[in-house]
Amino acid sequence: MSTATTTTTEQQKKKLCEICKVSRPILKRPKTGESICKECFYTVFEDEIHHTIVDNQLFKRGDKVAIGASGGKDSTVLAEIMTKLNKKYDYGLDLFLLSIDEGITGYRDDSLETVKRNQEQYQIPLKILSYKELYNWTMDEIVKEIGLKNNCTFCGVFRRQALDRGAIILGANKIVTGHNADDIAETVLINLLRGDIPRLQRCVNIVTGSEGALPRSKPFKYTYQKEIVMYAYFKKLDYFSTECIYAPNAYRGHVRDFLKDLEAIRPSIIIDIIHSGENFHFNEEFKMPVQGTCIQCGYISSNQLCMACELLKNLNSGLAKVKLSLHNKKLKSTNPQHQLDENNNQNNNNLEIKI
Amino acid sequence: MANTSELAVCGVNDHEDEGNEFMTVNKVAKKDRHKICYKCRDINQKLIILFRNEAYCKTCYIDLIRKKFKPNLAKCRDASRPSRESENVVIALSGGTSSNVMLELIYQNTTNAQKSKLFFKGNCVYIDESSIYPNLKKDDIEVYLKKQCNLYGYPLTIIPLENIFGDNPENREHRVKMLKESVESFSSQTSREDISIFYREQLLRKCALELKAKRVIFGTSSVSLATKVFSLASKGRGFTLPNEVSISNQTEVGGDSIIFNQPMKEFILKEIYIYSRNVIGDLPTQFSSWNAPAKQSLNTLCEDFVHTLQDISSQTVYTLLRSADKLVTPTLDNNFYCSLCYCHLSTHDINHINSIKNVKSTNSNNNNNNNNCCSDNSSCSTTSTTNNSCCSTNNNNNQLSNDTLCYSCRILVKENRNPNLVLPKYIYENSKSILTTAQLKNEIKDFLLDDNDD
Ligand code: SF4
Ligand SMILES: [Zn+2]
Ligand SMILES: [Zn+2]
Ligand SMILES: [Zn+2]
Ligand SMILES: [Zn+2]
Repeated sequence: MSTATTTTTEQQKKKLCEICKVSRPILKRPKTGESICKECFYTVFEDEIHHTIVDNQLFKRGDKVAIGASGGKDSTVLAEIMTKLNKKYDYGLDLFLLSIDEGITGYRDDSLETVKRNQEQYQIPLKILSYKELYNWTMDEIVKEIGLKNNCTFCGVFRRQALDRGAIILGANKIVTGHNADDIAETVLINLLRGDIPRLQRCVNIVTGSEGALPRSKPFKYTYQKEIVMYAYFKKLDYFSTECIYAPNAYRGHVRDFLKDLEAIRPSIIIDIIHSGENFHFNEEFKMPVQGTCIQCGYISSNQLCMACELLKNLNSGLAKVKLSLHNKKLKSTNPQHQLDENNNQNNNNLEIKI
Repeated sequence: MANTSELAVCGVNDHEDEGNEFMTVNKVAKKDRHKICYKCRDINQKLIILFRNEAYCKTCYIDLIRKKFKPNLAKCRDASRPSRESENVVIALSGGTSSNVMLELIYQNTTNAQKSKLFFKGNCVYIDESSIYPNLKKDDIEVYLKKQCNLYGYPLTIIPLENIFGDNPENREHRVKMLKESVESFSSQTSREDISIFYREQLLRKCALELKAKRVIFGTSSVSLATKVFSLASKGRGFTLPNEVSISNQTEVGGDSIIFNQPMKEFILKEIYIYSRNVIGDLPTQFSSWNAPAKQSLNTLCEDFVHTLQDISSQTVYTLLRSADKLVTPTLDNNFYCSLCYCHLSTHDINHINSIKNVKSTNSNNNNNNNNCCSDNSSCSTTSTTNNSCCSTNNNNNQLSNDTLCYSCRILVKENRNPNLVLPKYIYENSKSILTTAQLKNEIKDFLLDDNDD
């Protein structure tokens, strides 16, 4: 760096990887714009996630960590990275794959095949837990019952609990999910648009869930989606890339396109939005609701019944459609349609807290 | 949405046909409940407007808007002052409809009000940006603003944007050149826009101080503020966002406190346009042609996006502003503000400045070695010897430490492509003063008593 640069070295530099200055660059890093070689990309990509993990003290030696695996690219890369870093830096973690089978024919059944192949590849235990065994309803059945309007609300609430329950069955004490920087930035904007202050407060936290729920962390919090795709592409990882057949698209889709436009002008925008989210300070009067436990299933809840039990009660009594709209009115939600983050099938907007 | 759209409620659904809400009596008459004015019930009054599902006659609508404005304007008064003592204020005019309507509303609530008027001494200020926006129809706007200010009896000051580099009448051309250079040196359209907004705000601040006013009142409407919520969040300005979209935002610089007020926050564009057409009449068009490159600026992207969403859900603007209302910008230390944009610095930034051991070694942004006050010295000879010079000739003073900038301004400054860029003097002065304060504090910190340890 400090040596004088002449025109000739300048020209040579142009052809070489900006990091190792040895190999030929084959990609332009989305986060920094540097032209680098494949090996250097793997290194910086993995190192950054390692630093995120270490700086935020996401794990302790001996932790049993369930990796939320959907078969999509984010969670597949997450499984790859977690196994790799665990070995390389000797985190001393017990890793598990945890998949939730929502019961969506033609979508989840196929993606679960990918997860099963991943299990063989990484040689870590896999648990598949289905909505059917937990709630006695598949998403197919729920959609048949309530139609395509609020399906993601049900699915998101159910998935959140299912992950916790699955992790407990596996004996895990922590959960990691594949939410990346793009997902988080998008959620910040969506929560601003919805006026959803409790979620706005939580969504930028790298670790969420305390008081009864398992700590859930996002090692990809600062990782660009594009880099995850690049990593999966160059490593030729086996992942499943079809969207859920019940995915609604309108609102989150708009925000996503908008974010893409912003990013095209200023590549740091994703991190800048997260920075904004991390620097929001909330008015004292908007306190988080007090947490208790659900009288029916024991899951954390701020009401007598947790969201999942509430939704189930209505489903089982055939009231689902009616009740949900009443509930939305109660929430004064301006955009009641709850949408999914299709990329990794993890719902960003976990609904466990009622206002 | 679907069930309200047929009523064409004022102010919702779309923004394109601003002000075209005037309904003919016939159209209104179709609906029985809208036959008479909701307010005065006078069957002889011609109905003009459907507002929040109710029909109003012209007189009642005007009255409604004026009354709505009053409590907001009252928030722009120093509460500690006796209510009959006039407060000196700067009214920032942009040439647009919103600030023009605001001017009329201020006039109505201060000078013309029959009872319980508010006491203000208004000074209108227009910052002329035509030197960087050549399409701006400067003359038309100025003639119009002069006429309006005359009508209401407010003095009008017009300040060209290049005065950010001083106000010596002899070197105007040089200042224009410097202004252009200092704006065009930034690689992105967003940063070029942002820096000129900062310059405009700084000129208003300075003008307010000269006029012995403690506040500047802006006519920013709810849509513009909702757009700001998005654009500020996108630029990493989450910490300062609540202040910047609030009705009242106070900054303190070197003992001078200036408050920026935005009393039009509650007004949607349609309300403003309808009022404007009915009360004030047509405004001159601001630009001879509008060739802002689409999709090249974060600001315009955010604006378009908010409008798109507002079309989908009429609650968008309202919800965004309510979200921002639930956030606060904590005031940590008035000594620490961004040298460029004057926003409060965050805890992280302040801790960083305080941790700097030696001020002189901080990473300075602008370390130009040539001794000219601008990169091209040909036109500069006249100015560099006088005290009125546009920029300091002493390069020791031309240092902008990145540590004295907020997160967002650091991004902005990074986009500068010109190694010899000279920014307006006040920026360097701010930077220097912040670092000096930090260093002084550091030296005496062992002797300062903490409030908490009694
Ligand atoms: S889109 Fe996601 S949340 Fe919605 S139904 Fe499909 S899997 Fe569930
Ligand atoms: Zn390399
Ligand atoms: Zn329950
Ligand atoms: Zn009337
Ligand atoms: Zn700043």
